[in-house]
Amino acid sequence: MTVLRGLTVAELAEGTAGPVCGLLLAEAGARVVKVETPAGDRARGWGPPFVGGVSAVFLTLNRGKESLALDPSHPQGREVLERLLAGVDVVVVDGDPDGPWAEWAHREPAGDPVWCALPPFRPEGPWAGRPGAEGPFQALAEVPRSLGRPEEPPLRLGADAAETASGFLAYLGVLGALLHRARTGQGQRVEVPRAGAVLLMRTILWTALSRPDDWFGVHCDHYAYPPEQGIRVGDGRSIYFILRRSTEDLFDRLVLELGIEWVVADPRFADGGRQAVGIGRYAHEVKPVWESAFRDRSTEEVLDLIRRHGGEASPIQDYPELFAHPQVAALGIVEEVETPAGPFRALGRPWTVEGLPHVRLPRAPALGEHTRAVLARLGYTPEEAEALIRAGAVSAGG
Amino acid sequence: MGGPLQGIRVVDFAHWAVGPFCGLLLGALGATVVKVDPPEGDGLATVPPTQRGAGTPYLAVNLYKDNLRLDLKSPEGLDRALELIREADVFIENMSPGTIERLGLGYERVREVNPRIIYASATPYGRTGPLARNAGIDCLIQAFSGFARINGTPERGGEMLRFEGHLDLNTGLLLACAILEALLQRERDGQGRRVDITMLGASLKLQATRIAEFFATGRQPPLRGSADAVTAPHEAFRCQDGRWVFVGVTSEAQWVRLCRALDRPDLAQDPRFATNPDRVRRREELSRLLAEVFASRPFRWWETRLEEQRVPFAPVLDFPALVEHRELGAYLAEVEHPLRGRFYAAPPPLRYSRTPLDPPWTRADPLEPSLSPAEALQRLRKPPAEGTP
Repeated sequence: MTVLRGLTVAELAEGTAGPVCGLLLAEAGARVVKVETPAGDRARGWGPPFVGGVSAVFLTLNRGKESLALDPSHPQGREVLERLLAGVDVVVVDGDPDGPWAEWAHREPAGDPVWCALPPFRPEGPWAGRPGAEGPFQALAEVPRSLGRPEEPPLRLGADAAETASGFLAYLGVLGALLHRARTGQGQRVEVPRAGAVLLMRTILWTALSRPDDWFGVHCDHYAYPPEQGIRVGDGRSIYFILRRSTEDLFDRLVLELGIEWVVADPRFADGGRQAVGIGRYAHEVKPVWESAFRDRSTEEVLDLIRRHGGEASPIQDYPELFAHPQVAALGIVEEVETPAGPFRALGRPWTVEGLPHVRLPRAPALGEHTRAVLARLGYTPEEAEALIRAGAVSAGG
Repeated sequence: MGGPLQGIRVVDFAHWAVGPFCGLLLGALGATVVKVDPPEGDGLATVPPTQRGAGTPYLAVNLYKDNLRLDLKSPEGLDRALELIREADVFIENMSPGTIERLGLGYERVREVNPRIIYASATPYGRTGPLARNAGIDCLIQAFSGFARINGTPERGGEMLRFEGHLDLNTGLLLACAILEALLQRERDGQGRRVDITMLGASLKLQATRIAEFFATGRQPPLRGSADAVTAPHEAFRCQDGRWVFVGVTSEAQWVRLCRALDRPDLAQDPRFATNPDRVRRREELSRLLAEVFASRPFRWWETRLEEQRVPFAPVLDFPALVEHRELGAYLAEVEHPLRGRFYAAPPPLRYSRTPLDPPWTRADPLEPSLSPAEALQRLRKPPAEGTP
């Protein structure tokens, strides 16, 4: 029993944003048919790294989906597509103006499906015809200004923050529409212009920068801060910590134990040290004090010391450390599925819904792997299917 | 309230950013949202900068809501809370594990009072495991979840994203998805249920494509500056006038068009760069080559060429430029607060054809709650008519 059992989805999307939405739908139990051109989703070629010849990124984003490969420029291919679209509950279209599915992004659906389009920019705006990509989306949301230094080459977030958030938002949008549909029987169009996703995630900054009483605090000042790389500890690793729950007494004991008790006279360390750590006003300025205090200690010692004195702390971890940590195992978020190329690890869902079990998705499909099966479900006879394949209207692989 | 969640009532007992941003999204989608602050106010209210004395981060994550204060440690406050809960469809909390139960509003108690309610909780790390009791904030989760080790350059090392609560809001967004799943299920079986999310899990899901790299190779993804991991050319180039342009080629057709934009048709024929995998493998060589080309003309030239050839590109904007921008400015809205004046915010970029969303509004205030407990109860019992916030 899953939330979206019985629901069918047609995914006409390449790359990241649309497929993330489709993945979340699959994880919730929907049957997701990924419609690909004969050349396949461009993301199949996004690498290295490749696994069994297919992009690892593609494989993770398209688990649990069926692949129907058709040629949308072939009249019979279009017929197959239209027949599919007429029978699904949800359509997800990436709306890339230079992609193969652009035409289907503008549809006003007839009947009751939920039609979710993810164009790069607003279709009614001056940039309607422009394609988008992760780096440019981050640049437009001024993300590079929250990284690195102004006098150095700009950086971006390593995560595909804009496109992935777009997919999350589209999923939220689709769920809202499905709720309305469950109550009224009515479908509708949901539009999610992808350029807006990271802008949404940075909304705290836009409010802070509007008309502040004083130019004060990290939301204003961080643009001029040096890169935040944590605090170095004696064994060469770095940590990050805050003292939100400390008291004057705990703070005094902490700095005594660290041999820096002189800081209690330093106004930057007032208020239990709150402004001297984390995103506190003086944190980046007094970092050398902490680093010299931690110089002769190991990470474990420092973390323990901070936690015993009302603080919260974490090492700054890379993936090998993170995925070896027992807390990740406790989350149960990493799944492994067998594939022809060997065992394949991927992330499951980061939330639980009581009483609705977790769907363990099978591997991502080969291009056109389910073409024949989907055609059969659409009512084509095997002979008709083979004729479509011979005509080049569809292709079957896998 | 217009939107697909019209008629849904939410009691937002959360504080700081994760839970409240989730409440914001439900409010944006048309739910009636009432936020409950403790008697001393939400901790987020103290984070600067202020606007007319009120903390702007609080204002930012509490759009589309009214708020009130309750002292849950007093019998009267707890009774008021349960009255509100009785009228609600959704309950949100994100206190450190064990706290909401100690305050008398744990899942079992709330479910007794309202078996149809969706009880939504966010924790930093989860309820089991060695870190289950740990508090967490955005930057700590950045540190723990690997997020702080995938931004930066090999020369300087990894760094955090400073400082907008990106992972807080990411968690709130996914929690809202979880809540809608539970509401959908309730349409089928009439039951309430709990939903739980962790900041850690949400952060991992946001990094899914980089983690895919790690799972495939067994190695930490290298730091790449402005460059994308799996497509090329997809990075920032410096123009002759010192301005930078972010270019993002993600398809073979776009590569050909980029070569046209650069007046370098030879590159489109160059076997070294024929396919995306070729270009990714030779990223540094390609980057050096293209850097020379971009450095030969100013940004304006490249802007015209890239637009004409329909190659994804963008300059790095800043907030003043964003506000004025003829496309990007449309994703910001100026919101009028009855006490604190006008400020910008980014409303969720979702547009519905049949259940259009109302424009952003706000009344929740960190210092002067907009409702008394009695008014809050009224609001939940009789949600406002469509079109009025």
